[in-house]
Amino acid sequence: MSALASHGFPIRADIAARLTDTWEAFGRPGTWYTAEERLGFAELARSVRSGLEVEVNDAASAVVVRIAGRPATTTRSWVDEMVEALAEEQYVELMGISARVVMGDTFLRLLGLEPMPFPEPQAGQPSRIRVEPRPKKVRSWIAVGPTLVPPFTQVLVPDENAITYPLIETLYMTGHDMQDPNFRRGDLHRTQIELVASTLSYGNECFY
Amino acid sequence: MLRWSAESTGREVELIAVCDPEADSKLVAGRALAAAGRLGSAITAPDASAVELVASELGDGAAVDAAAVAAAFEGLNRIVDGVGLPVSRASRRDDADIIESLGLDQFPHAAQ
Repeated sequence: MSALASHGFPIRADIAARLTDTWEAFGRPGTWYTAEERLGFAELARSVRSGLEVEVNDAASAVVVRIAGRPATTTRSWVDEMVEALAEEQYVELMGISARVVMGDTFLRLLGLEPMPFPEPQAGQPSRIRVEPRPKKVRSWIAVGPTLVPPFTQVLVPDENAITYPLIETLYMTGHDMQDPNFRRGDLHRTQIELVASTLSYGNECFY
Repeated sequence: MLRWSAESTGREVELIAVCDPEADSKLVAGRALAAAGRLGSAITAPDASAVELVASELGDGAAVDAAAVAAAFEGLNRIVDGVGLPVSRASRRDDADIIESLGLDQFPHAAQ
């Protein structure tokens, strides 16, 4: 975590702690993938988001490449194809790994810092815990629930959601804070926060 | 959320600044903050130029917070696009003017 302690900007302690936890989790066995596999996908996500051209020939890597590189190009038919090859749960774990790598790396790069190294893999097998009863797909391509909002997008793999969403809340704001149009994060007013968010989402062509 | 937070708190905002780098959002340090968002979606190597602009206008703490928000949405965009999370029918109806005027209806997932 030396990258977080050796620069000119005062990184908030809660962000530093959350990023540390998030990075350590890449090195632990997940729900469907081993630590070695998760770290391989994390490295792939970093390479793709760094602008490197990569060629892959398996569905899991294809998910990482698309989500990390060009998320707006996902389509229902492509997601169906990936789910057919992997299952929804594996897709969700890969999506979470990709998104978290991009979040952490983007944060540090915007501060002029190199991304953090990934940890060493820990031994062990994936838990393979399935959610029962299984959430149903309503209008989304992957089952989410109970409502169609971001905090419930990884309910098929609770351990993923338990890492991803707290990171988002730490970097952005909590669900409670979101209800306040006058929310302030330090010297930033909610409108200024949303200007950053909207401009970035426009650049990603994210319709949501 | 940008329009909602501005209207709810009596602040003027020009939404065109979201897609036009030359436009003035009317928010304090708006150009610097928009630049941070814009760079966040494109950055591939360390580049503090945008947050340094934010820091020069609002201080180092705000610069870090702006980088954090940009990072959060780099992840959120991927997750909502990854699962095909639809925009609610009510939001599409209420924001129809924004969707058309900013050209959001041309985005790949707009037809979902």
